[in-house]
Amino acid sequence: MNLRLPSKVLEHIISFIDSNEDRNSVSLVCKSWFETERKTRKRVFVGNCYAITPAAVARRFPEMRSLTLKGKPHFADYNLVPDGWGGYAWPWIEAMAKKSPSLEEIRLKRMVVTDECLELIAASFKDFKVLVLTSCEGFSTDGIAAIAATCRNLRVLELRECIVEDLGGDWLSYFPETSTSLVSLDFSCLDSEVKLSDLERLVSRSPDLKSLKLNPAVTVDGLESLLRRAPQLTELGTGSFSAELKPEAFSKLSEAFTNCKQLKCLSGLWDVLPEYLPALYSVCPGLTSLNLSYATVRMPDLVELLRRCSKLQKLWVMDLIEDKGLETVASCCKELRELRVFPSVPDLDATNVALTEQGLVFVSQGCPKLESVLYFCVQFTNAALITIARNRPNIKCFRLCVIEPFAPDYKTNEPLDKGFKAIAERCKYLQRLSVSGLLTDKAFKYIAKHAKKVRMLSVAFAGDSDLMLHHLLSGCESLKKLEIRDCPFGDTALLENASKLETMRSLWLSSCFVSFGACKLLSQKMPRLNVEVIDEHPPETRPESSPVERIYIYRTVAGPRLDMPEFVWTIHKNPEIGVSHLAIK
Amino acid sequence: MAKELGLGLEITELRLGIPGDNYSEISVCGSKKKRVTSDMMTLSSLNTEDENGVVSSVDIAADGVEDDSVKSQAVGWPPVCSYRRKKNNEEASKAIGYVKVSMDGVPYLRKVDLGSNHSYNNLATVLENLFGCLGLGVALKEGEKCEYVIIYEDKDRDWMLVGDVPWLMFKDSCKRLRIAKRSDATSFGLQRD
Repeated sequence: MNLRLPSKVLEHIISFIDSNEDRNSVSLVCKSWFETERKTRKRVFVGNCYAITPAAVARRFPEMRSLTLKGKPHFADYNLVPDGWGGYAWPWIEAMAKKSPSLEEIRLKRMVVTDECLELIAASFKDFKVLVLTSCEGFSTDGIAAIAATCRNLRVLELRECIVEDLGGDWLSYFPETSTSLVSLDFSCLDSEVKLSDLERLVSRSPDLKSLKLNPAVTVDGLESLLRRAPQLTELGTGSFSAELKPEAFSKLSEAFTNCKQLKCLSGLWDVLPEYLPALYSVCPGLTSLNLSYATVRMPDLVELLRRCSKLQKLWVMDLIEDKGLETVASCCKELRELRVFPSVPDLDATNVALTEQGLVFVSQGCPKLESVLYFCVQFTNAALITIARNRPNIKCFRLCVIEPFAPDYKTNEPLDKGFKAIAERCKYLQRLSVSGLLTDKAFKYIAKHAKKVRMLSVAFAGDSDLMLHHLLSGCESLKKLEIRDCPFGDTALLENASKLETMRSLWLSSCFVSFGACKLLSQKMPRLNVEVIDEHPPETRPESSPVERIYIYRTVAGPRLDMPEFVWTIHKNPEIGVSHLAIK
Repeated sequence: MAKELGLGLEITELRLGIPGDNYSEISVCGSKKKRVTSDMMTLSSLNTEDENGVVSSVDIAADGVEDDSVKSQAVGWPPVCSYRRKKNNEEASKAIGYVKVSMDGVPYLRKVDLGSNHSYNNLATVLENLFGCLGLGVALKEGEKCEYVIIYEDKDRDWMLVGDVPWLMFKDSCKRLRIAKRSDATSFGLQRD
């Protein structure tokens, strides 16, 4: 009996599957499912731009409409990846321009994007709709102008925390004079002032605009004027508030906010003076997302704002919120799902910040839906971690940064092993974990054993020996990304668990004791991994056994990359350091 | 870069400490990210933070003790992304009265606290220390004799010669400083009252 589904039926069924993970599984069933799936996938996600060639992606997914790419490793955010390492968008844009001209959406994270890239996007994709650049660099406002001018159906243009060469605010005037289809515009990371009148006119002729994130150069008056023209906004990033408070400006602003009845997300708020906060009260009850992480507002000014936010699901703040403020959040924000608390002074020394582990304990007690945490704190205790784990077994993302490296439980002076053990054991859905504070190898044994769903793990200044890495690489069944810095392990664990690395997207190691020799060996053993040694100093100048600065290892079907700078060493690019009889394809 | 400066000796120097710490320093300056080696940093005082608050890497050899020095000196620690770091620094600087100082030919920016300086002389000394460049005091006073001029951008975005107005007036209106080569500065269109 023929059990095969007609391909049209199969296609129809598969078209309902959105999740790429599910689609990946579908494509493994058999050849015909693979073929049907690939022909129907519209949204393609490539987590490491060097894992596969652009041509291969274009070939496999002929109906691709949306491409998301990530370039540099995560630790590039903390300046651990030298400039010039790579992550260039150009080869991808160039390939897609030729082979996937129907592409409508491009989302890039941590990539180097040039003006030429942006101009090529504008010129090549006739129905281009969405451009989102997160933590990207290498382009100027000229490139943005090209997008604005040429992409007539542009809906989304978002520059999130990019480093842009800002040549002035003219780029905004390049949007077409006729009405636009803009739904979302985010230029919060640009420095230059844009002409308010240009912005006002753009907003007025963009009836679909729902999300607008301004840069700090936009003043209170500007903000008020824009809100009047776009009361339909659901997401707003304000400009600066740093002017002195004038009563007239304040009441106008309050009124403008009152008319924004659909506002759900609020961010920006740079330099906001406490005196301005009451202007926001009218939108608080409807807010689901509030980003105060650049607002230097202190307690108790924050309380009045927070206690009105009963529907809040996402809150980003600075540690100026203190334990007291978090207590308010715990009692008023019962819908909270995500909390991030950032340090107000990055080189925190101390003891003068009234934010302790207790703040997070409050929130874990009071907010039953809490599932994502990022918390910077000077010191912590096992007891607090255990309490948090008991309160919130539904946590999916737990990132604790104890700012003091090697800091033990400050009450008992023990390592934080027990605390993180509790987190790993109780939070069965944990997908992302960052650990910190004083940790022995044991902590990693617990994590390896219990954190079965953890996909991404970040470790710094922890562990005693190779055992820690051995635990992680031989356990942690779902591990996809591991990034480690400043830990005292050497070659053994890495080499013994080499095969694990092919099941992962990537491994980052910096300031550990892994040697050049080990990197070469690993590279020989595992031809489907790219083993990149990122080190300023050429290998000939030191012995094989000497440790290297940074290693980035990732699986790839694209082979060695062709765009490595001089400070990246691999046995392919630098055969003089490799074994001479190694066959290079 | 070390070789360009003729200071390739660092590589051969024997040191104890966590590997890589001598060289892993990465400095970000201005809007163009450039790498600065530890050699360049030692030329000038490390009292003030650079543009983005990234301070030099762990130098355990100096202290001999692991724990204490790590926290304040490790690159990229605490793990606050550079965009956020930059914003935090801008906040702190604005609050206190720090202005950026650039020097022609030098690829990094410095910050100087006008609030804690009390006079032009004072400022000159601080600048000399920051850039390891003697004679800036002379530049301030004697004008023509020095290779460099010190200029500042005022509230109206005009570039003015430092030293012309009374100190307090200067302190209030100065937005940033530049130590320019005399030859470049003259074509710069300095405003003089």
